[in-house]
Amino acid sequence: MDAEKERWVRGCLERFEGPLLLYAGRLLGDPHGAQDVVQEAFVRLLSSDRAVVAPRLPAWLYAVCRNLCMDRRRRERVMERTNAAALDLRSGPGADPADLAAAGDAAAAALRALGGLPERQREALLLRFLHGLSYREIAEVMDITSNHAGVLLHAGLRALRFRMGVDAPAAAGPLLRGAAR
Amino acid sequence: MSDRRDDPRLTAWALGEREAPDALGEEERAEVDAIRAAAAEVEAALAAAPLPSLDPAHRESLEEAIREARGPAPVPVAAEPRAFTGLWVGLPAAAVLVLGLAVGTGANLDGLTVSYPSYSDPGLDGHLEVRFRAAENAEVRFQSSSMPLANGGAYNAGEGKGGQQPNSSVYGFGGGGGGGSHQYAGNTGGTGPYPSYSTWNGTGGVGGATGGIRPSSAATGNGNLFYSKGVAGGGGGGGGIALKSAGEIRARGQIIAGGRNPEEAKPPYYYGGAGGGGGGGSVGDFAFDTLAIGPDVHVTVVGSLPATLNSLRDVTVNHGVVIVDNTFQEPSTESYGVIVENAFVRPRGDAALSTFSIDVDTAAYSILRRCLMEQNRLPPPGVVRLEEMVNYFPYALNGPAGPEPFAVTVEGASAPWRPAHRLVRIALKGRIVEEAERPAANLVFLLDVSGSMNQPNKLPLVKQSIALLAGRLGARDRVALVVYAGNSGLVLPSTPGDRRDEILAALERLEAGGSTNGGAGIELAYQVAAENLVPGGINRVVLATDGDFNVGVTDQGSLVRLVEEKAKSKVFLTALGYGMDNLKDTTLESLADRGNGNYGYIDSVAEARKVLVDMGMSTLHCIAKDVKIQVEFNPAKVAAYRLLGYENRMLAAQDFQDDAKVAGEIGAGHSVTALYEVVPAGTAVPGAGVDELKYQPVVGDPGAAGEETLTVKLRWKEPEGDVSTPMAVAFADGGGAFDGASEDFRFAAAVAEFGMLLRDSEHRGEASFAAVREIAAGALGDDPGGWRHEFLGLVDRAAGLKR
Repeated sequence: MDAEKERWVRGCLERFEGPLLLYAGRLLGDPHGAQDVVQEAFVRLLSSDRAVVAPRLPAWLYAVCRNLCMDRRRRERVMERTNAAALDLRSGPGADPADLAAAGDAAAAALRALGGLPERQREALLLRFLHGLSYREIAEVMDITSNHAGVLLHAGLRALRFRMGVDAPAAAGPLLRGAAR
Repeated sequence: MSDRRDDPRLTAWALGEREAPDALGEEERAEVDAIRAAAAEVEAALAAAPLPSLDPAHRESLEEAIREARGPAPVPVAAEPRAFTGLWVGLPAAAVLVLGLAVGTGANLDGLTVSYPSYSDPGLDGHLEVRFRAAENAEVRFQSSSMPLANGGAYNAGEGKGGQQPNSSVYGFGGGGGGGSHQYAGNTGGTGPYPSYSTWNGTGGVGGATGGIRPSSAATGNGNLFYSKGVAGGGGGGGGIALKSAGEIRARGQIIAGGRNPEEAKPPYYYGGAGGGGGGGSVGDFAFDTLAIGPDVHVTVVGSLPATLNSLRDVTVNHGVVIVDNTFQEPSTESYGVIVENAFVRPRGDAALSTFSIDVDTAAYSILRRCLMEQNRLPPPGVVRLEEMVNYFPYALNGPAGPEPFAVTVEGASAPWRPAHRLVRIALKGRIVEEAERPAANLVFLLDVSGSMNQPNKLPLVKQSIALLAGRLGARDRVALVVYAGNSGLVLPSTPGDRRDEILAALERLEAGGSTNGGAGIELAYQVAAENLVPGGINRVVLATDGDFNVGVTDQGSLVRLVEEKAKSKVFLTALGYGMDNLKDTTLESLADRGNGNYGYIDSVAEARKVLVDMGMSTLHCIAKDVKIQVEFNPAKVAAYRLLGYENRMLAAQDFQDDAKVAGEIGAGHSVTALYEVVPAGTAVPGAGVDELKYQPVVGDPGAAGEETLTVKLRWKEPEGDVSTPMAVAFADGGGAFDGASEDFRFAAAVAEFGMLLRDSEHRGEASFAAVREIAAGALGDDPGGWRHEFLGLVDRAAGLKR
């Protein structure tokens, strides 16, 4: 590795360390695991081909983190099954209580609603609104098509609007609507 | 008739991903603005979180890796000899690869082809299934690059035990390797013993999982890989396979081994701590030793990959054919009953009557959604309860105009999976009771706090569910909390519903631990409910559990009798199932049925909201109980009929009028849908090889009633009543086409068709996932909760998993 590559890696580290930790932490529901994942992602960046990877940033880093998280979750799911007692109780990948505490009422409602979305919709929304990725980049990270990313974002935002609306006490749920045929 | 608001371009416009056309309609413009506003709100909410940074230990490890990367490239340690590698690179794109075969061990590799005919959805988190077929005697070896075989990481054929990495001392404390062994197993192949894993003690290695070997007839094996991490690193586990000498073989090994290849086991980073380094021998997905495969033998290896397909890069195949296959179903400790489908019945004599208790549970849908979407597997057929799937979705139905507690709607059209047949939908809609009109509630939450609840999707979710519901209670309502584990106890005496702080504080104090004794807890809960009984109110015990009654009164029969007895004292039961691992589905369902109650399966906060809050108190506010439906079919119009689902709700014809027979209840605003597949008179009845009967009584001219297809008869009791009230609605099928049916009808039909496919129903006719998707996509309606859209995702997933 030459000095220039090292500078590049350090630049990436500076820029993406925080966002990637946040991202992995949410995917895992476990900030400690996120540390492992992000460190590993940068180790992989070290041995990557810069010419290939550089044009694909930041999607490449998010995708690597995501894959490492999925890997880890799959392992831990099996471990929990066998040895639940040995594990710390972790919060799920949904709304993080710490986030909720920090957020105001409206924001808390949005985060709660976000936590209730189907996983992939939630993920697409986070990549967009927390990490500012484009449709194409989201598609690359999640290994789907851009169109699919668009559909996830659309469906996710729509469900979110509904769920945020439901939080208001006056709104009726779907079964209470009783609309005419 | 799709909704304009379904158009994803609206969001793309709102987010500036695409430029919106100038000629945007007013409605679209408003929708785009609304999306933009929601997006801004989400963005603002998310921006509040502070950015973390790497902690010093991880940072230092990374610095070390950087220092190391400056030096000369490390010389790789020789691993197992490999025939060739790089096979899987570019996998998603490859349709069929014919391999160059001249590399490696020198075995005869003629005729090897590797193909991936149906890796269709790269969004499946890299799940891939592979099947081999050998043209002649072949040797096949698989391993995953991310967790390669270490030297000596032996998979001990026939033993399935790990932690025996012979070379481990060479690699520091490195854990032992798992044994990706295949073990002789009994008739069904079966699951080997789950090995323990070790976190701290460096000898790490964990046992390999097992598969099964069976000399003849189909075998199924299941092997999981384990890993351990920690100070001294740990070993990996083994994969599993199952094989037999003739016929089809299936195995499953998940890549969950984390032990590292010795060459990668550097002390500070990866998962190991100071001492460590992962043990060797962790085998990836497909850990099996060289297999000798006879001619025309299939070996199917099913594995989920840790990351992308690129991770499964190193495969050694001497010769054989690799084909994607994904029909494996993981055995599970969850117990689901077996469903025997209702058959077609000819409407003769008493058989003209179809009698069942209504069922408003929806748990089956949540469970199968979890199987499909989170675990990436097909649901066990026993969980596919058609009536629960169909009733999961809200339908737009009119409530009763008269004094009855519910209205009945009947609609008919041709059955999409068998157009010569008719599909009849009978829908009940309960009277809508405004929140202010509902009677006061006396709720006793009975919470399982045993050790098995100590998982994110269990106790914490229970707390959130109750907090959600508590938010809807007022001063006239009362809430109590009873817990049960090793001991039972009252953690919150009956408390007015507006004292929310007390309720939430009591919830907060709950912790899981101990084993479960459901019996004693239930008695205490009923006692508290009885002491605080609100005459004419909602008196209910709400049981929240994963259903693992593993201590004390485990006899399901005596629990059921207890609950049934208490239901007579006007205290009803709602059972909420949480978590997945050992949810005893049938236990909860039968408890709820006998307790005049309902059963919900809760896997997320959204689901808790749907079950407990969106329905207002309707889940809890019963407006009619012991609701039974009896449908009488007219033999002049109907050659045969079949009730879809409700298999465990069937009643004998004479039970209909027997008020002593307990049946389901209906809550305020609830709707209940039942579907019948009807073979019109003059059409051949599937599977009925009986000659026409000679001595059927010939009835006189039925007059106008002769044109009727069926009559729906209902009986119910007021919640406090003991005497049932009858009601009847006649229906004549106009013979309409499926496409002309209402949106709700078409959607319900799609859900039923989906269920029949998942169940492999012999009655599925021309049913297909493509048809289900098309019908459902054309019947999404308003779908404010997104449930129907979500259904489309389930269909796509199932279609990918099942071929």
